[in-house]
Amino acid sequence: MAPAAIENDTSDYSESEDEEMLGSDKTEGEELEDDSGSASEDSFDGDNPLANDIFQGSDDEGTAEERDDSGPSTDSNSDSDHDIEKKSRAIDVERAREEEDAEAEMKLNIQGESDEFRLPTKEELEEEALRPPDLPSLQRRIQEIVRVLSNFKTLREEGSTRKDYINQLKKDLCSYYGYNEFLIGALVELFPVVELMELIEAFEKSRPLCLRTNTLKTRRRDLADVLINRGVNLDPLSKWSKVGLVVYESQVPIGATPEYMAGFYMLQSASSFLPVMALAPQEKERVVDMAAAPGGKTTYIAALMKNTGIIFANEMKVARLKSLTANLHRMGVSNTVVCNYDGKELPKVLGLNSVDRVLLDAPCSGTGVISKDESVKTSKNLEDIKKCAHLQKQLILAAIDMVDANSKSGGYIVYSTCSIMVAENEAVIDYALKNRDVKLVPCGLDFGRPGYIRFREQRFHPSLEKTRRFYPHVHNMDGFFVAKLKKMSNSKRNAKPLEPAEQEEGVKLVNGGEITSNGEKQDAAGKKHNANAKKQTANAKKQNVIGKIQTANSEQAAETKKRKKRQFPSREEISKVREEKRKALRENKGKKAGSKKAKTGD
Amino acid sequence: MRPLDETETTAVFEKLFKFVGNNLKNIVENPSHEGPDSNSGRYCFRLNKNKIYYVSESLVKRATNIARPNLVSLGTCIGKYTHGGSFHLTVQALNLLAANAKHKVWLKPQSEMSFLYGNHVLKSALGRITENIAPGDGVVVFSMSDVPLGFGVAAKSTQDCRKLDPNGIVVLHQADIEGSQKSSQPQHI
Amino acid sequence: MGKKPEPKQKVILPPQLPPEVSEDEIEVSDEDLDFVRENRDYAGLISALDTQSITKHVTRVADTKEDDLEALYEKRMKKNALKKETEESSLQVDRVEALPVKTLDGKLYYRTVSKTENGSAQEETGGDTTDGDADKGLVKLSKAERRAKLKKMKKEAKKHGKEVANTEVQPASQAAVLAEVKQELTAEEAFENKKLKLAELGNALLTNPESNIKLLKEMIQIAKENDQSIVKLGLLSLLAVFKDIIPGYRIRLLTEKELEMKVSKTVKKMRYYESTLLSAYKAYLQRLIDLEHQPLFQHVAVRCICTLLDANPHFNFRQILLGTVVNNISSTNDAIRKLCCSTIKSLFINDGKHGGEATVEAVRLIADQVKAHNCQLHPESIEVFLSLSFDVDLRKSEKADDDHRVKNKKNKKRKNMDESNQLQQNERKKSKQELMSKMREEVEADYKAASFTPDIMEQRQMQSETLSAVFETYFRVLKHTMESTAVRPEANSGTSSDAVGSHPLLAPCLKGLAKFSHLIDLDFMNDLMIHLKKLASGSSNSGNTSDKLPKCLTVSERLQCCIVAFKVMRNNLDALNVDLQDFFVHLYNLLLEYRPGRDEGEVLAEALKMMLCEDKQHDMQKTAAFIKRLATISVCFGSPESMAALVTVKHLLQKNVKCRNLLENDTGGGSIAGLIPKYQPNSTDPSLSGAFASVLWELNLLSKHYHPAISTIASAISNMSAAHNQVFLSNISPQQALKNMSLEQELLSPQSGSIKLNNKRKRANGATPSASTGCTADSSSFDEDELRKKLASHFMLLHDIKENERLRRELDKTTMSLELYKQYKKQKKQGSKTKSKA
Repeated sequence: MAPAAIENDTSDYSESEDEEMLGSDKTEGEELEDDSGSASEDSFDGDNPLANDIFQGSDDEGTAEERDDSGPSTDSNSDSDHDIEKKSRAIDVERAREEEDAEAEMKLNIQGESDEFRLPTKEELEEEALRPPDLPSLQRRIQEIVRVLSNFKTLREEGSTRKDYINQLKKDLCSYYGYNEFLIGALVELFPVVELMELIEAFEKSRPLCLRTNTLKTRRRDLADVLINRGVNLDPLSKWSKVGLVVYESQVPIGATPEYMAGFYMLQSASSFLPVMALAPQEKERVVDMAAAPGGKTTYIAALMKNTGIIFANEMKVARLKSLTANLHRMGVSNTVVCNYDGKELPKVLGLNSVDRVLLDAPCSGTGVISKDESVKTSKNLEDIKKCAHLQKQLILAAIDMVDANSKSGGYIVYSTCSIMVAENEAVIDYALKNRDVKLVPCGLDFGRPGYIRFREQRFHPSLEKTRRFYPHVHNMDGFFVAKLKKMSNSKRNAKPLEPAEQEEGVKLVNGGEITSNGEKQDAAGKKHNANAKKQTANAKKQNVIGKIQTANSEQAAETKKRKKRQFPSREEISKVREEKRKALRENKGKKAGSKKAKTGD
Repeated sequence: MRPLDETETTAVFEKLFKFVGNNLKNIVENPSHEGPDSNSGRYCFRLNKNKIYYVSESLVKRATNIARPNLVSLGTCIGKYTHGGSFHLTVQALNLLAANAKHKVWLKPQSEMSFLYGNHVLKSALGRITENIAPGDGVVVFSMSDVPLGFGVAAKSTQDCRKLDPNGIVVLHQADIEGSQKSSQPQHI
Repeated sequence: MGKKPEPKQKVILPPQLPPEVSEDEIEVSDEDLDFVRENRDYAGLISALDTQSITKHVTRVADTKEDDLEALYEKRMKKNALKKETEESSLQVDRVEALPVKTLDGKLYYRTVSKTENGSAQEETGGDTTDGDADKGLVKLSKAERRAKLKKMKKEAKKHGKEVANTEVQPASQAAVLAEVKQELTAEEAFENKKLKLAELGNALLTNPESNIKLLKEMIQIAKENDQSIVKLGLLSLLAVFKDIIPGYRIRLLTEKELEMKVSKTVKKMRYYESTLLSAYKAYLQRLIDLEHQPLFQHVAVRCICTLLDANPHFNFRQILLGTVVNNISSTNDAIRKLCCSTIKSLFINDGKHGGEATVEAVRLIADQVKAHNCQLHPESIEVFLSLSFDVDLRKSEKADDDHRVKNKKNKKRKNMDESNQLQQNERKKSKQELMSKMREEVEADYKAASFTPDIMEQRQMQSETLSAVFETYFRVLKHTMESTAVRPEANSGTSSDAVGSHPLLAPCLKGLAKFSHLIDLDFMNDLMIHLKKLASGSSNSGNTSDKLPKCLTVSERLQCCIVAFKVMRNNLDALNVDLQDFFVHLYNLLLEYRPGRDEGEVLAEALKMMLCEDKQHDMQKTAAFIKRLATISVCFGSPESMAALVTVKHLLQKNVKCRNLLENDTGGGSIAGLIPKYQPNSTDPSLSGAFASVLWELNLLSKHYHPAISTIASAISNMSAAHNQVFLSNISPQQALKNMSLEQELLSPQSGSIKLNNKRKRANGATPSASTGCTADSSSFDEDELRKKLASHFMLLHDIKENERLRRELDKTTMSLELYKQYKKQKKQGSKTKSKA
């Protein structure tokens, strides 16, 4: 449902995007073609696909470059020309609308003028700038603008464009809620105005206090029992968690009860349950938590593993180590090795392909948790986002390198951020998909919005809709992003041909998704027998051969117009592909075994 | 990270023995359940940065490739060596002690907090007490709902407790889960 | 066989007499038989009555009729002898005891006796008061009494004047006559005479002890003869006499001063009487004591001693009696032992008779006995302690001022001081009231001070002495047992008989400890606990030494130890709630060693009740471990044990909500510390077994148990969690607990109560089909029921089958015969045809 909904919400975007392509093609001609907007549109519609192809190409180049460490620069380019494109696109829209509606709805407009809200003029704004801002009026104006934008055709004011409204809205939001322009801009790009308002409002108030039962020491029912006796008013969190409790109010400091000190529960935001649930660690596994502090997720993992197996809890910042170890001990976690490295070095330390699962709760801009710290509103800017994205890309590659693709029970990477920026989430995953032999698998979370497949001019891998986004105003938890990757082979593939890669990936992802989903089932069933596992996957693949067409169709349906054109590869192609993939797997296994022997040797 | 030498081992065992008595045997001999291997061996004691860790052997094996400066902690930290070179149990050892404790004391609910604020255990606070505690024994302090709250040193034997007046001190506070700093300089036994 | 004339006279006489005699005889014999059958008392007295009347009659008749008398006597005595033979000499005792019973008919005798008794008693009190240092009030009173009594005495004297005279005349003449007759009579006759004599003397004494007290000597003489049967008779009759005439006070030997003091005639008489009585008594006891060593007489002697002791423990020479009794308390001869034990018990029970001194002495003696024999005595010898009774509030006050208990005098002083203080206060308070009242108060106060306080004090002292003696004994037994277990070679490996042999006294000792646990001094408690622990640990003490040290105590004994420990704890420190970890550990291990056949289920059940159900609360680990283990063993036990186990489990589960997740298959129950991830079924320490990681699958099996009660309770338990899943109930409601306990009681009270089990089941879980009942240890009745039904049905089935077969066979037969007949006909026809053709 989510994707469709988004389509509707951002209908104007989707259509506008078409134009922004052309905008990107021929920026110089824009201004001249004010009057003949409609005509030009048609003509452009015609060669959209072409434009798209070109665009894809350029995008790929960009990523290619990024691999040569000039990533940030290209990003900046794309972002910078976003603004221009946006302006131009907005203008075109206005023009087009004017032309269309001009004669038809003259009367209506005239009537509407009477009770119409009008944007403040330059002078007004100037003098307003002199005066200290009076919030009520600001709020009123914001509401008005939102109202207008929500029903632009009818409520718009003569001569003022949507862009004007938006800009005005941004300004007002900044001054009213105290964001900086960049952040507001980013948010505006993410959400239609109405939703935007909800989001911002949600950021203003804090999330409910959650705590997670430490199943190493007690059970949720018993804990709830004790706490209720202590005068805490609480409820089970929600149906998706067996260990969460929501605290409405408490007569005792919930962080100082004997139970807390004894490690019966952990104070932890609901959103931070998600990556661990997605990771679904099994007993006796080797798990790495690349950014562990303050240990909420690590202890959860340990609890799920019942203190078996081994967890490498890494934390780079020395300052945060104390809290991490403290929590580990408090919760009675004994299967953890706490180390202090830069995440990027971890593969060297722990060895490549050496663990079953990796949780990467990447350091991020924290744009999802504004309700937690206000500073984000102003402190973050484009640079920060880019820095974060860069770091995250390095980290996720490191994470993938650590995971052993041939692990019986695992071979998964979970990537999560508490940011809602596309650049820190989908972009990073997409980057990983392109640079390692991994594929996205369902997170095992039945709620949350799917990740963006395309965001403005960016086009991400279609399987990105398997990732999950969580928003304060929708799910009443911090803004959050979770993606789960399955490592297919231990081979790094650096360069890959553009076009075929695209196609084959499209196909392979379909299979991949299903295979891994099978794999997940096995995990759930806790099967340890390798033979069974192999058989299952084999069956799964056979099924896929049959199921391919439908899935392909569904895929197709999900694709946008541009993808429609691409013809799907024939069966033999697919079987061929799968053959080579199997070969790859086998030889990898061989390698793995060899390497293992070596390890045990020394 | 390195195994303990003779003196260190004796020091650690003596301290532990005060609390767990003969259960020390199964502390050392019990098979460990941590670690990915099918049989993860036993538990062992390791010293790292003057902290003593009680940890599964298989964890130790896997932690070897972490450089000493970067290794922060592994398994359960049960105590540390002070600059004076004397060994003390720390609160983190509580779980281990509680599981194997020989001498236990249960506190009445109303007096839990006072203990957690670092006060000694008075007779009036006693909900229950195991029999035949001798003064100087290590005692693990529980809440009535069996939540281990901390540990200390018995000031009186169970027998004397009967005659003791309500305000008499039964257990000297050493460490509690509230993590008070007492654990670093406990009363010497 | 000397003189002719007498025989002649006899020859002359019989024609006249025999008829009467015979009549008499017949009558009497009838009566006697009745009496023998019903109540011997009468019989005894009748005989007495007759002889008495006869003596009177004799006194009138001339010497010539002597012989008839003899004959009569003989016959009478024969009857008596018969009686004696028939109901072995127990009759004698009864006869005497019977005297009070006599009140209903033989008033005369009763009065004389009683009068003499109480008369003398009163006189004595008077005497006491004169020489005793009592206050004036008492003296006055006694004097008044005395006068009245003296008058009475005179009256009596008049009344019985004749008799007394006669009786005084009698002995001389009779003695002479007897002396000459003896030579002639056969030994048999002599015997008869002796018996006769005894009866006579005894009778005389009973009638009027004061006057003819010296007859005692004669009786003793008789008792000293070497004919054993006579001796026995003598002893017994003496016993009867003494029992009757011994006064209700203790006779104090007179000092010279008193002797030379001149006193009134009556007093002198009294003194004479007492002294003779005393000396005779002494002689008698002497005789008894040395007889007691000869096997033939032992029984009689002991019986006499016991009865004496029982009858008047206050009297002189008690120590001697006690000594002998205690010596025999654990004799191999059951009859004797029983006798002694019962005596001691009665001594303990009604120690009102003697101010408790006897109790103290007895206990002391027993203690020494135990010490001397190094605890190798018969259990009963200690069991008698159980009938001791201690005055608790005394104890309490004693505990209050603990130290004073030791030094009694000081204590007494203090008491008095208290009194005086109190008194002064009273004075201050009531200063306004008039003198009279004040005077009265003072008097009262003095009176109290004089009379009561010391009494209490010495009671206290005695009690504490008794207690210390008792506990000393118990501790000795415990110690000894431990040593024996420690030293004892592998010879006796656990089999109860040997174990008992090694330490016979343990069981009663434990019982006693359990009973008197509330009186144990806290100082003792500690080492008591240690001992018990060592004993309870038996073989499995701290694992390592187990192989070296063979187990000598049976499981049930060790369980007993645990129970006692708990009782002691519970009774003593309600203030401080001590958790007996080690005993729980022992119980936990004993559960495995328990064998339904070998050990008593009652003990196990009691242990479960005491330690698990009634204990205030445990930590979850332990409880879970116990629940798990109980469930496990209840799978492999007989019905009663498993029932006990299950009820306990149910109780525990109801009490401890947390343990309910043993009933659910949901993991992550979480062991404190998370150090014990999985259940270790054979760990010795409950708190280390990690039972939380396991699930009570046993219940599922048990719900298919053949015994409905068990299956129902099992299923009930397994449904318990479902019931309470939603509600977070932190503690169980009282009436729930109460119900549970009642279940407990019913179950734990003798296991072999099929009926009990029935209604228990009804209570426990609604009405359940009580078709088959009785899970007795050997659940025989139950099985029978079941079997009978099954067999019946089976038989019916077989029978039917048989029936069918029979019918079928008949059918076949008939059909066959029909067939044959047809064939035969055909052939006939053919035959005829052929014939016709031919």
